[in-house]
Amino acid sequence: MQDEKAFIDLLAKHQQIVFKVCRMYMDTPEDRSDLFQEIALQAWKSFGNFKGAALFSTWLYRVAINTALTFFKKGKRTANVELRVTLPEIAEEKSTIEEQMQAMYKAIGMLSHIDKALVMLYLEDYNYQDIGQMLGITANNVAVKMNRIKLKLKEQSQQYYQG
Amino acid sequence: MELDDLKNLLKDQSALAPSDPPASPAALQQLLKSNPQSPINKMVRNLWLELYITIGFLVPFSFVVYSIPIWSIRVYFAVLLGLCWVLILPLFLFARKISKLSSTALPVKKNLETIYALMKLYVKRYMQFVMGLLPIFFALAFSLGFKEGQSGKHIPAFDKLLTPFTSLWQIVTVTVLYIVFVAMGTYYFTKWYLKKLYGQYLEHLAAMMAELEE
Repeated sequence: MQDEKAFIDLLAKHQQIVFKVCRMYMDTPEDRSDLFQEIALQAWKSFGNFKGAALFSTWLYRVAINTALTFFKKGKRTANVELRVTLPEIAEEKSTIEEQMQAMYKAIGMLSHIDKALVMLYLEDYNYQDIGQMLGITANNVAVKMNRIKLKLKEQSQQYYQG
Repeated sequence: MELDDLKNLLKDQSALAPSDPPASPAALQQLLKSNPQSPINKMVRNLWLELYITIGFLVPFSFVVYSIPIWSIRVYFAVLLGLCWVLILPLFLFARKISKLSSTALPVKKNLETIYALMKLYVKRYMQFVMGLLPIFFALAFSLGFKEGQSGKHIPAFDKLLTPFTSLWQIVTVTVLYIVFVAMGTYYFTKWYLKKLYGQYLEHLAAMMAELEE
């Protein structure tokens, strides 16, 4: 039971990682709750194999992304990523930036499952080497994909913002 | 706005809105008691269920083998019983292998490839097993029936089934139609069943793997 307590303490501390992954991949509270539960269970099942070589947060990201990608619900489309940022009250500027962010989140929401994983890890400030290790691809491949995604997001978010 | 602009905004912790309300340790502990719902975990549950059902069949099949006086039925069920015994070990090993996989945090690509390969193998073996049983049991049923007929013993229920067919060609036609109908029915039903259970999921996994390959 010592293990369970240690796991719950770590999960409680890092649960925002799981929430982020759930928000990225699921668009209803029910689905997010189901995915949260699945990730928690999966992490608990794998916890015995967590050797501590990586940070718990990095390990949890890997488990969470693996679970989200393979947690498949028939007929489900990808989620529209929710706006989770509010800016300080500077009236007009705030409004414009929030709208642009909304447009960017909408564009992210339209990405494929794999591209979403890349974007999420990139926003978490992981470098290409770390992202590559988590996804099991080369850093070079990550760089190519990220360039493509950035261009796509720029175009899409501009369209959403203007239209 | 570009992705890097968003990244910079998110880096500014003061700009973050209150995030999801944290779950309490007690709520997290409760979560760990629930059943996992992912397809791979459902497959593991199906495998264990199949294993228990196979073990469950051992008792009634053994009863038939040792207690029914009709020789052909005893042989038929003895073969079924043997198959159940043969199936137990591979089912157990396969279920254990997948259980082990689901408790390992592999890199995403490797994880997808492993799940895909295991599911594909499961679907293939399932289909092969079901279709492989057909000729075995047709051959067994007809040879045993023929032997019983030669020995002069008759099973009234089976005789009644064939009563409307008087000539040999009628019996042969009905037998052939029966084989074709059962074989085609089993083939298409199994294919449909496996596709319904795993088809869409396998396509989903394959698409993600292809994307990572690019």
